[in-house]
Amino acid sequence: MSYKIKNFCKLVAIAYHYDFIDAIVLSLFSIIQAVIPIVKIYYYSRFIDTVLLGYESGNITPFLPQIFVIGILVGTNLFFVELEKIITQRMRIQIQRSFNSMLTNEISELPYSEFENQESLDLIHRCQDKAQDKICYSFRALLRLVSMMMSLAGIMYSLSLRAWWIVGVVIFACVPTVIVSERAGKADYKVNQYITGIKRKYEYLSSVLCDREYAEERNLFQYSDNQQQYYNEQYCEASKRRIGVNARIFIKNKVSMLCVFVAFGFIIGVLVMPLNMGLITGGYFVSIIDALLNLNYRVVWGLSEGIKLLSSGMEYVNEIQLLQNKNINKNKSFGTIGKRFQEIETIEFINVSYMYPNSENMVLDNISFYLKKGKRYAFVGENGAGKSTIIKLLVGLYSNYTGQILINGIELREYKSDELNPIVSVLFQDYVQHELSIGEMMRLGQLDQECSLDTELLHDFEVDKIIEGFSQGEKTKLGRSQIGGVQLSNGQWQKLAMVRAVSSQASLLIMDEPTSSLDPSMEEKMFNALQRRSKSDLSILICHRLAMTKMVDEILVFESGKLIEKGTYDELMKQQGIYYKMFIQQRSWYCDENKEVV
Amino acid sequence: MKTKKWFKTIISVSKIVFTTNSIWMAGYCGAMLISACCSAFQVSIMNDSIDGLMSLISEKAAIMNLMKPVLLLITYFIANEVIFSLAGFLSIPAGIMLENKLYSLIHDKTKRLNLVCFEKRESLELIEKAKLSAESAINYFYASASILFFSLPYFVITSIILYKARPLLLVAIFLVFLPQAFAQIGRKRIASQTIDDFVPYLRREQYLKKEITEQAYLKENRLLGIVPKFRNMYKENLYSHCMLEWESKKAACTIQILVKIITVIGYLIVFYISIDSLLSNYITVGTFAGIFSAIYRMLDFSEEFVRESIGGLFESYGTMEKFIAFLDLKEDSGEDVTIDYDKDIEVREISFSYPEQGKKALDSVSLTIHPNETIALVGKNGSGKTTLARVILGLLHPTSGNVKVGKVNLHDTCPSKRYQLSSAMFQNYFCYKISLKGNIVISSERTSEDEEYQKVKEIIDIDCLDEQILSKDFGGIELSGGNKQRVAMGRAIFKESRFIVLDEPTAAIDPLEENILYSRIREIVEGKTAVIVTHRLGLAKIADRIVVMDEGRIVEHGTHEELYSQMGEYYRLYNSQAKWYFN
Repeated sequence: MSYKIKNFCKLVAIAYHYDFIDAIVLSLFSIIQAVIPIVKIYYYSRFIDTVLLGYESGNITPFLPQIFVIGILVGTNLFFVELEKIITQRMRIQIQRSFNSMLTNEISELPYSEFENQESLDLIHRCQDKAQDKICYSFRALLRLVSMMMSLAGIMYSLSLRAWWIVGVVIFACVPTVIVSERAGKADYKVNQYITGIKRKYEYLSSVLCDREYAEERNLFQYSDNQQQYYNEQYCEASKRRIGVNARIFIKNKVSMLCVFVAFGFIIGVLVMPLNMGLITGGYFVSIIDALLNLNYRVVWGLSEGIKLLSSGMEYVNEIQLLQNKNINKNKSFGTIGKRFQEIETIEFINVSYMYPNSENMVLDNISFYLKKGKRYAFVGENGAGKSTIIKLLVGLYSNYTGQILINGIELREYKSDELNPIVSVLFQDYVQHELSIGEMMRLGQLDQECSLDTELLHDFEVDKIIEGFSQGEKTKLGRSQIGGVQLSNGQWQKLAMVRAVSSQASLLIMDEPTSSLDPSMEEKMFNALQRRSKSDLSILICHRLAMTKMVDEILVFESGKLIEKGTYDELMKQQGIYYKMFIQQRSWYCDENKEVV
Repeated sequence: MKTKKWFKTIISVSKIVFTTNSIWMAGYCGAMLISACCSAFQVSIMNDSIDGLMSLISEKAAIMNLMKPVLLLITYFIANEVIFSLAGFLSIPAGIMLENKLYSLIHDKTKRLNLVCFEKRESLELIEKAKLSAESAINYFYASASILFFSLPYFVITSIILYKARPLLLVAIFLVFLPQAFAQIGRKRIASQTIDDFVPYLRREQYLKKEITEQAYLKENRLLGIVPKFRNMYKENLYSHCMLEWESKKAACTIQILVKIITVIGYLIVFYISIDSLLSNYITVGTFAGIFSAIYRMLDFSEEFVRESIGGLFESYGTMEKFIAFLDLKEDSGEDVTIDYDKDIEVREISFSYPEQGKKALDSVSLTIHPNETIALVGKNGSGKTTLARVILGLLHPTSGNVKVGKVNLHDTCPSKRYQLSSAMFQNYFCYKISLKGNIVISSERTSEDEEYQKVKEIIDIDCLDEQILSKDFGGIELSGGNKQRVAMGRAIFKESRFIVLDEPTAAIDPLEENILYSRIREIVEGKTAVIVTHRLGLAKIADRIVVMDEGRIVEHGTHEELYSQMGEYYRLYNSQAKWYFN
């Protein structure tokens, strides 16, 4: 129960916090709307009485002022309904603006491992999905409930002056509706939670069936019909659940609704007696019926809808809380540019082992090595040997490894991310295609956004050609998400990303397969660029083309999570181990012209 | 002209929406119709019961007699409520069924689109917007169904009842209903305008959101320290988007308030007329009460229904137009002729440029590929290799020139026949986020029971269970780049083919593997016509002939020995790569 109260308070707090003015205005409106029906009963009954009295006289003039008052009442009511809608819309937009950006901030600060966890991904998806609607509409539902309670109380009061027992009957009759609606909201949210998983699956299939990314294979393999079938299966599964829960809610609702109707019927039936005895006027009788019917409409619809919305809103707030709890140890400095406080001197791995969560395979198995500044290193080895995982550990994406990783002699886990991040520049295999301008993309991570880039570098990677190709030069916008943005090929993107990584001031440069979509001739140019970088820097290169590794100071060869060979090119070739074998094999493809090559 | 188009759109969408074969949808419409009748009879029910009551009271009748009209009234309200909320409940499954139908329709249409549609901004936008517009079609369904099956019958019946009581009362209907209806026309204009304004913001917003909330992006952005930068950009974009949305909402609401004022005036007039009717004995007190609550309810309806439905109808119109435009996109079609890859593939003078790009990607390229021959396409980035391969596969239609296989013009055949015997592995290799098995069998009609499946698994040699999901998104594992490429290769060779294109088949594969794969590729292409696109010239050597491309043209072609001795472009490229292996 206390948990419910907490969520309830949180919902109200969110609404007031993110849009104070609109929340206040809406609250005021709900009070006004609560009062109007009460006033209306009073005027209606007087009005109808006068009409009934003047019924025989046939003269309309005496009623005109009353008609006017009623008109104003109805008019203001309608008007406030309209205003309420506008304010709600504004609130929705306000919440969308402030709350959503808070939410994305929160998500952007989650620990990296959460993004590889299915449950957390589902949670993130749910929290982001129409956040403004969930908050705003459940808040409005809350206000409506309050206003309804108030006008109910008002009507009850005016009734109780004549017959106190009516109050008891009405309250008693509403109990089932309240209980059922509250449960319904919860059940609805729970099913939605369950469905999110399936929904993500079929939405993915739908993107396979529609998106550009898959267009080539979709056309060539003509698999749409088969995938459509899977899509249907998943979709039906989800919709069965949804329909099922709604059907149950519907039936329960209607049963509880019957209680309200019977009670109201009972009241009307009983009121006939005092009417008969002349204790109440006909006008009062008619206006009570009118009020009850209206109230009944609001109770049956408003109460059940409102409570349903409110309780699913509270479930949502609970999930937001869960999300925020995941951030409890958050490192506030994530992703900020700090000062370059030092340079990398040494990197040392001592008996490092690592295993992905929920997996039994050792990705890294007792690895130890020592790297120091001023040198270039190459990591080679088969796919899945653990090279990329080492990089992820080194940049602090995972912290639950065993063994020690020392940077300048200090354990990696003791660094704050803003101390470490500015001294590393990484080009991941799955580098991001940032849809900014060409100039911005290449200067990401630089402290000075206006700094000039190495022209030789631009020339080597033919980036100058790319820039010249567009009339706006470096200011050319990239990507489809911007108006007037241009599309680049994968190769062109990789070149920009490479320029970005290489021209960074960071003293540790890591590149994972930096030339995978480029001409081999680029590899040489990349090396020249590395040579031009500061002599005191440390660079690590992961590559499959062994020709490239000849130029580095030390080569580390990995196999199934273990470091198996280490040394310079000459040493390794002399050893005639795995590296030698790989090198010879690659060379064999160029072999028969051995003699002809310079 | 404009009205005609409007009409056409409405008709086309209606055709799609209302021909959905679903019990749920029929049930929904039926329930609404009954509910409309039920609501409409409120006037006469109120009339009977209240008048009955009144007369009984004046006669001082027994209590038991008085209960009868009360019971009647209560039963009526229960029935009304049940049927009304039944319609409300049925709207959910009806919407679900319709959504499924619309999405299937979109998938089916996308299936028939040519690859070039995905390169053209205009059509790509339509494709991207299709799902959004399906949502409006659903709204349209709700809107038009409530007009056809609820509002219309309700207003007709109420009109008749009112007319019978006193013809003048008919004015009530118009005074309450018409201003609402007119207001929607204004809203339509605002809505269709804002949709176009929103889309760019929305697209940017979705992208920026990815930059700060998705794994692959965050990994890099955190290190670069640019998360705050993107957060700010997201915030700014969101701000402008919200302001724009608020502006349009404000405009719509202003209209709505004006309408409200007119409606209230209308209400007062109706009020006046009904009192007058009561006093001049046209109607009884019961009917008066009935009309009174009926008009109030009508206001509610014109609020909830007319506004939601007609308003929704107009609002959704703008996007529905896009939906129809999407469905009208030109489909890839042709004759039902089988392609015989035992004949020569003749590429004649083809040129191709991507839409909205001035430069020709291919500039009158001619080439003959003999059956069972392996061709290597080499050249620098952007020299047109991949485009040429796509044209030869039939995925892209050349701007001029043609590709003939034997006597058949490849691009004149229907897609199902065109790709029947060809397969390919594309440059942007990826895994589908489904099981390993699913990833491989997806390319063919064959199933995993086929012995070919085991063969393919042997060739690609991945140490992973058949049922393993290949994505962390769905509780599976994430393969390394090299393994992803192997899965893509497995997919390409699992499909039965006589002609195969391999575009950069070993880009992400490690050296030891690459060597094994080179020999496997030899096996794969044996007995097939093959085109290998690569910039690794080592791989090119396994081809019978090498074609060197530059700037969209073929600059050299011949065997490795021939080209090498020519000392041209190929010689230069080859040496630049080979020299690293020899000192």
